[in-house]
Amino acid sequence: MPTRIKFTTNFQTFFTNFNSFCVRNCVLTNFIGKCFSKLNHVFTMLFFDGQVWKNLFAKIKKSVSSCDPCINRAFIFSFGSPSIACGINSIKCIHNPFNKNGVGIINLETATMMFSDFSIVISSCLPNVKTSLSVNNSSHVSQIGRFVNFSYKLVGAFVILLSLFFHVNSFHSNDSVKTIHCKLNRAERLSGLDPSYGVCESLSSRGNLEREIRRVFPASNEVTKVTECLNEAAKRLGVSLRATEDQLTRDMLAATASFINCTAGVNGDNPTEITRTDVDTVVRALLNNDAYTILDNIEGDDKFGTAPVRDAYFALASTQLSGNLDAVVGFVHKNQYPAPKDALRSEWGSIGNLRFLLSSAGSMTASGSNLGANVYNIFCVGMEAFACIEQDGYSAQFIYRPPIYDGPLALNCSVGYKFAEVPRITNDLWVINLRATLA
Amino acid sequence: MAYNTCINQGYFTSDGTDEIIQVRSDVDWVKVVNLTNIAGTTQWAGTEWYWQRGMADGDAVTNYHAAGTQAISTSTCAIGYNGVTYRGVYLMDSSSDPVGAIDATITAVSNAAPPVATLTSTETLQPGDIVRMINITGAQQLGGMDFTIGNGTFTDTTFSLDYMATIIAGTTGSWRRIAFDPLYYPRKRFVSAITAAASAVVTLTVTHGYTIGQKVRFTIPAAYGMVQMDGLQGTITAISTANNTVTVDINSAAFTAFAFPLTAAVPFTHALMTPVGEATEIVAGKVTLDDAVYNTGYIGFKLGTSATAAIALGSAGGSNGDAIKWLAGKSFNV
Repeated sequence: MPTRIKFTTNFQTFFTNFNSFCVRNCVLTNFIGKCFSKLNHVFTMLFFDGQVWKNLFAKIKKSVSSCDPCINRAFIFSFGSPSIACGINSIKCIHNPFNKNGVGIINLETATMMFSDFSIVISSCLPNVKTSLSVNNSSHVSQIGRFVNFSYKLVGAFVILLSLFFHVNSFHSNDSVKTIHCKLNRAERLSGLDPSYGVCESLSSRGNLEREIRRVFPASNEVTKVTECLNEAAKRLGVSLRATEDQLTRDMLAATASFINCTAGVNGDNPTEITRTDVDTVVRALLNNDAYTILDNIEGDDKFGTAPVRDAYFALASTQLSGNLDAVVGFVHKNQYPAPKDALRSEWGSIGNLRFLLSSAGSMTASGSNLGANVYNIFCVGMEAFACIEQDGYSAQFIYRPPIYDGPLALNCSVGYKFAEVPRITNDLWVINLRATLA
Repeated sequence: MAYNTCINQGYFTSDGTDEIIQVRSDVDWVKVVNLTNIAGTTQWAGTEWYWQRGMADGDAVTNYHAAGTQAISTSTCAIGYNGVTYRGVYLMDSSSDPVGAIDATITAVSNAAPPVATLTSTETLQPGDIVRMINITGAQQLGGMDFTIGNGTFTDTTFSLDYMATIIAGTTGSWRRIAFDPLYYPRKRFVSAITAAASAVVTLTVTHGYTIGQKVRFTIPAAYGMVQMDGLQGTITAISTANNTVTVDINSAAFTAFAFPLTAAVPFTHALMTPVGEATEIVAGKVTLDDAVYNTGYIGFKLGTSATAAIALGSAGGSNGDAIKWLAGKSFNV
């Protein structure tokens, strides 16, 4: 599902001034043209870099969710072909679309954002530059792939130009760049890099004349490491969110659903272990209450060891019951279904009109039996017996607040989720808790 | 202790029972001061308690009057002083495992009204606690059921099953304290009695928390006799907190009498009252639903005390009437 995304920039004014500077003061020879190849790349990276420093995640998320599609109208010129006159004559038309040419496409299936023909039009002799940016779709957290390996300080176009002439890969402003050894932060350790120490370059702050010392990696590495950690955190939090949702639903059912004790077993407890009689009792109760079955029957087939499966209610239970279920008369394990592929992943098998879905987080009442054994709650539910009601217009939110360095405030980042929903029984007659102990 | 990380503070007047304090976030340390004891000179009276993560649940460093003066000595609740151990600070998470340790010291359950259990010690209990009875010889029908205890009878060695019907006496057995109710309110409850009347009065074994107007449904198995009540839905028209009953708009006058099963009836399904319904009621501008949609979970801590005066004197929860202030917060580990 392609989605367009637009990046805007606040560097247009700078580029306009810079281009005028080039046109008025520089003789654009082929030598300069070669330098502009580098310059073009530099400005491309610089363009991205400006986005990175301004809360990358918030911007990308905002762009994904709210930007309008925008046509890439960047001009593409072959290397060295235009003349100075051409540059002079067309400078206005070249720059007009500048803040609209950062248009790419996010492919949400491959989780890659590609900037094709991303042209930073400085003058007419510049080639187009391609680069890419990857976005993790599942977490809405962006990950920079190939990105700028250095950060430039915009002291002035003239200085940048000089650095290019001398084939300097990055602009160093006196003491603004230092190499120090520092301990990796937690995010970096989690990213699988050197767990103890690494070389960190201190860079001058972006775009400003202030000279701050940063005890972190260069921008690209830093962002990559943090986002790798965030991607992993997002995955884990997603699992946690759904597990929490299940647990709340489980607890709601345990708190309020009426129950039937298994009584036909022989373990001498109350309730007893589960038997076919008990299954028939609860199925009969659901049928008497006009509960719809959830799953259709599975037709019999001419296969050895298989048996047809009735249309069924769900029975949600603990994995501790797996062995006891095997021993119940009439139990059909899911691998004995005529079409095993129709079985659900968590399904264990069926007994009569119940298909058992097991979970390690299944409900259990500690010492709930007469003899003090744990009682396992088997929630037998018909169609639409309970539901999760979303509140306040949303179900769940992934929240990330990045750390802000170089100051005593807001040093701690936070990442997590919150959701506002309540589980509830929609018809109490369609959900019955069949309680059982182990044999 | 970094006081600038404080997240909560407050005060209360002790009623002689454990004080549960819910906080917005988990805590790493708790400090408690008993202003009443500080002002007094009662020997062995605790004045200050401090607990932080890493200390045992229920423990705390405590200051106390070592003599009948303002002189202060220091100990911990676990070590104690004057030959007594005391109750300090307990972390609370109502969504965690709610079951306490099993106690197999019950020696008798009487046929009184209500029944009274005799055991070795009720030190870890308080009136109003919920207890799960287990494997009572001669009273197997009580096994696995929860009861509110101690409001009728509560001594060092006995507690009453407050809202239970009369039974044939039992002998030995076990019990476990249930620290937390099920997470969602209102909750299903065991039924111990139903009257045969124009408006049936239903007695529940655990403090019910229901209110007038809520709709409920009854599950009354054959073992209880009043099978006509099974599956019926009614609206609560009156409640009694003293007797832990609800009155419903169901005419049970012609129903078979309700009879709690005998020990020989085991196994059977228990009689239940469950919250149901879609009806809503406007209370103070908000809509309340009849069925269980209210998550009552919380985190916080408990300041323990005891019905035994000597223990309450040095416990963080204090004695009845004590003015107590507390401070709790989060800290960074260093």
